[in-house]
Amino acid sequence: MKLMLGLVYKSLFNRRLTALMIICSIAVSVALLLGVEKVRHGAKQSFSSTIAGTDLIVGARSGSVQLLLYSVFRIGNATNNVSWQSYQDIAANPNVAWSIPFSLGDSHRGYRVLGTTDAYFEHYRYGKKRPLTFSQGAPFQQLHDVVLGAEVAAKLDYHLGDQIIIAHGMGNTSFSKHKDQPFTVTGILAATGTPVDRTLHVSLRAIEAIHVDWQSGAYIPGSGGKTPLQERALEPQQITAFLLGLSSKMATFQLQRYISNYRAEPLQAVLPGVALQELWGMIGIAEKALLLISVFVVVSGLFSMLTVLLTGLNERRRELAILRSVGARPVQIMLLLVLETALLTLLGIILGMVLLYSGLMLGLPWLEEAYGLQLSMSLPQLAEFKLLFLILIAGTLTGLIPGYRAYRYSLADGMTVRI
Amino acid sequence: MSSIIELQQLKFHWQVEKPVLAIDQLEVCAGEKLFLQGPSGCGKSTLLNLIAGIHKPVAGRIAVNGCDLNALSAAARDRFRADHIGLIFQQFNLLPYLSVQQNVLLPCHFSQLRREQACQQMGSVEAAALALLQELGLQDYLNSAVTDLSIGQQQRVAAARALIGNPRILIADEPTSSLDSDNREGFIKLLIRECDQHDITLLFVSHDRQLTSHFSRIIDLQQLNHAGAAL
Repeated sequence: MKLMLGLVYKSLFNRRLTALMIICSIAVSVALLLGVEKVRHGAKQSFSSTIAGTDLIVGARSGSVQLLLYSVFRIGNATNNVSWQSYQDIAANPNVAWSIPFSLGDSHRGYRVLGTTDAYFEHYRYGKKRPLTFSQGAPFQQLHDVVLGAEVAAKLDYHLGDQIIIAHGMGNTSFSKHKDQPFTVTGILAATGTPVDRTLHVSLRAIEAIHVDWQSGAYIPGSGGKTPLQERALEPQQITAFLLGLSSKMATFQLQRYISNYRAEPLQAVLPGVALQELWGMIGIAEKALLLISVFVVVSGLFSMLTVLLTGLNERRRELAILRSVGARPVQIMLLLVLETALLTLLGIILGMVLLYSGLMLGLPWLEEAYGLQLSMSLPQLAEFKLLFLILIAGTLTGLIPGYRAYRYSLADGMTVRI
Repeated sequence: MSSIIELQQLKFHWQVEKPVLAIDQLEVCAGEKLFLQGPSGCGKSTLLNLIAGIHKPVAGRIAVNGCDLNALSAAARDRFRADHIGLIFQQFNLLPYLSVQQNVLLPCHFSQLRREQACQQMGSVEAAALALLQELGLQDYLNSAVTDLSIGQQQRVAAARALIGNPRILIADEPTSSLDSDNREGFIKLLIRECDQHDITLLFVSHDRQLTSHFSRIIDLQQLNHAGAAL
C-alpha cells in the first residue's frame, strides 16, 4: 500500500500539469458547492433574523404569510386595515411591554413609506436582537421629517437636509404625488440587510397630514378643510398592522388567542418565527435548486477528471505493463488508478476549502454590507464534512472506471505493449 | 542438469479458428543460455507470456522451475513471476518517474522472496542494487532520472532490475533491437556474464541471427510452433 501510494504520488508528479488541472477543476466545484451551502445557511439565517425581538405581529385577518409579507417584508398590500381604536386597546393590555404601529400604502420612487412612531427606533430588532442605529442624523421630530433606510439613501443619493416628495400609492411612476407637502431627510439608518434598508420612515401624523385633502383615493384640494396642519391633532383613523413586544413570553399564546377572538373587528396575531418558517418553506425550493445545480457542478468536475484520466490511460499502458512485468497484479494496477483518483479528489477538496475560506475571508464584510448576508466564518460544520466525504467517495468510485480499464489492459496486454 | 522450463502439447489461441501457438515439446535446462529465434508474428510474445504465467494455455502442460503453472491461480502465477522471473524488453523498460535505483528495486517491492535473497547476498536491497549497477558500469547514475540515460544505459538498468534478488529465469525479449551493433555485443556479453555469475537461466528472444554465436542452444520458434500448419 505504501509502495502503491509512492508510485501514485511519483506518477502524478510526473504528470503534474494535467494533475494540477484536474485538482483545480475539482477544487472549483468543491468551493462552489460549499459556498452555495454556506450561502444557503447564511440566507436562511439572515432571512429568519429579518425581524427579532417581536413577539406578535398583528393585522387584519388574512393569512399569516401574507401578514408577514406586507408588514415585515413590505411586499404586497394589506387586504384590510386595523382601526386605531383596536390598536390602542390592545397596546394597553397589561402584558404588552411595547408596540410599534405600522401604516403603509405610500411610496417614494418604488420604495415603501412606513408611517410609525418613535417606538420603532427604540424597540425594533433584527438579526441577533440588534437595534436600529443611525449612520447619520436622528429620528423624525417635525411633522415633515423623514428617516431613510440605508439602501434608499445610497441608491437615490440622498443626504441629510434633502427634500423629497412622497407619492400616493405604489409604483415608480405614480402620477398622484403629495407635492404640496415635501419631506426633509433628518436621519439615515445604518445598513441592516433587511427590508428596513429599503424603507422611508415618517411619523404616523405625517401620513395623516399628507392625506388630509384626499377623499376616497382622489386628491381634492381644500376638501380637508382649511385648518393649518400644525393645529390639527392628526390622529390616525386606521393603521396597517402593528408589532407587539410582551413583558412575559408566557403571555404570548394567551394574547394571541385574545386578539384572534377580538370582538370589535376581525384581527389576527402571528408569531414571527412561525410565519418566517412557513414562508421559508415556500421559497425554499429555490434554495434546493441552487444546491442541486452545485451538486451537478461537482459531478461535472468528476466527469472531467474521468475524461482526462481515461484519455491518458492509453499512453500509460507501457507503464502498466512494466509494473505487471515486475510482479504487480492486475488488482494492484486497478488499485493504483483508484488511489490516484482518490488522491486527486482529496487534493481538490483541500484546495477547494482553501479557495472558499480565503475567498470568504476577503468577501465577508462586503457580502454582509451589500446583501445583508451573514455568513459564518466558522470551521466547516459536520454537514459540510459529510458533503466533502461524499465527494471523496464519489471521486474514489470514479477511479474504478479507469481502474477497471487498466485491469482489462493489463490482463490482455500482459507485459508486452509495443509503442 | 534438471529442466527448468518444460512444455508439453502446449496449445494457445484467442479464437478457436486462429491458433497462435502449438508446441509439442520443449525443455530448457537450468543454467542454459537459450536463443529463441523467429520473425515477428510467430508467437514469440505469446510464448513468453505463457512462460511468465500472464496467460494460461488452452491445453497442454507448462512447468517452470518444477511448478505446474496450470495448477496456479492468476494471483499465484503473478506471485510466481515476481519471485522467479526477471524480464527485459525491447525498449521503454523503465518507469520514467522513478530514479535508476528505484527502478532497479521495483521487483523487491513486489516479491518478498527476491527481497530476502537480495538482502541475504548483500545485506540490504540498496546494496544489492548498487552491486548490480556497479557490475553493469552504472554506479554513478544511482540517483539519476532514467530519462537522462542513453538507450544502452537504460537497457543495462533494465538488466539490473531483472537480475536483482536472483530470479531463476531471465527472459529478454529483443533487448538489443534498439541498440547499435557495438552496444549490442557488449550488452549480450554482459548479460551472459551476469547470468553465469548468478546461476540464472537465460531465455533470449530475437530475430537477429548474428547474435546466435553467444548462446549454447538455438531454437527456431517457427519450426517448433506448428500452429500455422494446422490451418
